[in-house]
Amino acid sequence: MILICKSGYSSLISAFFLLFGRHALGPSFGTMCLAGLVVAFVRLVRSLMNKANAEQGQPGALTIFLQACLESILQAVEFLTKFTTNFAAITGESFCASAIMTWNLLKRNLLSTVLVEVISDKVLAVVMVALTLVYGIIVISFSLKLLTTSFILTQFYA
Amino acid sequence: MAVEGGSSEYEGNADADEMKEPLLQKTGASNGRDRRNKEGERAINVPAAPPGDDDGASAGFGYNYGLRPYQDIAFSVIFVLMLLASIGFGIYGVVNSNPDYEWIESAHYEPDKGACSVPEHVQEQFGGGAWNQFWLHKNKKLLLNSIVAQKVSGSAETAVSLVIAITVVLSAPFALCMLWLLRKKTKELVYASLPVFILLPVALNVTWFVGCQRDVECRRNFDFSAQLSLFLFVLLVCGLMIYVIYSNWDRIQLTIRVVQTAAEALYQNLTLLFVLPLLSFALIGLCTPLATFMVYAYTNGKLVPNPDILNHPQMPCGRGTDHPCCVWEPAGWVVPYLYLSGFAILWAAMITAQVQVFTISGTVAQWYFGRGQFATGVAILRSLGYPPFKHCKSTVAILCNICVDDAISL
Repeated sequence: MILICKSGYSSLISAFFLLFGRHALGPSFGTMCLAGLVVAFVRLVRSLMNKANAEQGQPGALTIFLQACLESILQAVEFLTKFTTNFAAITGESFCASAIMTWNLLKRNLLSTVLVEVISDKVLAVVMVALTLVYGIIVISFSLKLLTTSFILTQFYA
Repeated sequence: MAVEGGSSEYEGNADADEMKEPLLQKTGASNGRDRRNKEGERAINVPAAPPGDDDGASAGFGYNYGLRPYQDIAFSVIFVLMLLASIGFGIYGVVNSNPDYEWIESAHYEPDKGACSVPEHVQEQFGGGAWNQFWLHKNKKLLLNSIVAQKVSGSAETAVSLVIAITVVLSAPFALCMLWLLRKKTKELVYASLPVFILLPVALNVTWFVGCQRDVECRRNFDFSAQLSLFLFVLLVCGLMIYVIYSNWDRIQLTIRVVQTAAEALYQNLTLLFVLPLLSFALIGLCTPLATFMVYAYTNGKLVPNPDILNHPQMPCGRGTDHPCCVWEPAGWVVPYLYLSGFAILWAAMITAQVQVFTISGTVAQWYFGRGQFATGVAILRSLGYPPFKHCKSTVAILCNICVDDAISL
């Protein structure tokens, strides 16, 4: 809270609420619904695929190949939908118009986009794991110490 | 105003960057341009397309501050109808739920009638047979047990809860510290984590190979040539990864700048960290009644004799056997309702995720475009239509999610 106040962004905060109230749940809610529907279908297809996999046991080579193709298509759709939502947030266009704009943008520089996405994702994951490990070790050592102390105290009073 | 607060630091960053790493190709003279735009400008690694040949993504592309028309109304109507339908049927299900469902364990099969019934005395055992009272009874016991347990174990419990409280309290500074690292030490972080992508698979590969060599069982079952080929294949993939990183070095520079911008954007819009969880809570608030309705809807129906028993009358049933005498048959509308309601919940969850992305994008876009609005016209138009902006948002989306997750999970 102090940090927010320090950076002095009250105007941005109000703008943000404006955006949130008037766009995401206002004019663009239909776009959100459509995007959500697309992602929901993707998830549904994926879960059906996994379920079929679990029931089947040992799948054949062709099945694995087809599943890999389907999975990559699903991932591409999800990727495109996320960027489409971004476009819709900026321009306020409909889902289809945003999707076309996204498509045109990705046609020009797909590789950069994907690479930056993947690398930043992985970098953040690595950083987070490392920091969490450090934090966890600190917490564990601290709590062990605390527990021992309390145990000794209990013994003492008993 | 807000924008000036961030800009001085930003210029400092840009200055430092400029001296250290002119690795990306620059498109034309950048001296006369505003510094704040330089980052976006230098991040372009695709030659600028001539203005006017384009699909509206380059010239004039920016945050739409104007009045926005309602889009894709049909889908929001469908969603609202679906929600209303599942809530309506859910209320119907609660009203018409069959109390026999909770006594399915003690249901009695009457072969001569070919029907199942619940004996009266079982229902009276728990005072009228109300499900709620039964649960209350159970919960009271649980509550009592937990209180007793707390009193008994005493100080150790206190210590544990203290540790948990401290951890929760400290996780906020921890997340902020991570944000600070990402803002100030982006380059170091990225350079430090790049080797991990290579070294971790290589280390795992060597570990299993050596482990397999030592283990007699593994050596017998796994052909040596196959082992060697798998080992070499993984090494080859790692080599390929090194090549990809080397050949896309400029894109890694781009990533560094994008992550830096994203962290800066998140820092300037810290409210996001508080509002996005609120959205998740709203989703939970919506889904909890729906899930409850689903449970109640299933209790609409009746007890019927197990069809297996009807087919084989000699088969034993009831206690001590695998076959229950009576099974629950939900009413005809229940299964479609469960599908409908389940899909509504899934859809609502996905919409929440999209709204989160939308909010992040919109906020960051306002910040980003607001930041650049003092710069000279041409520079703006050229920098805005191009990828840095897009990357920035998607990265912020991930970053935000991770930070929020971090703050919540720790």
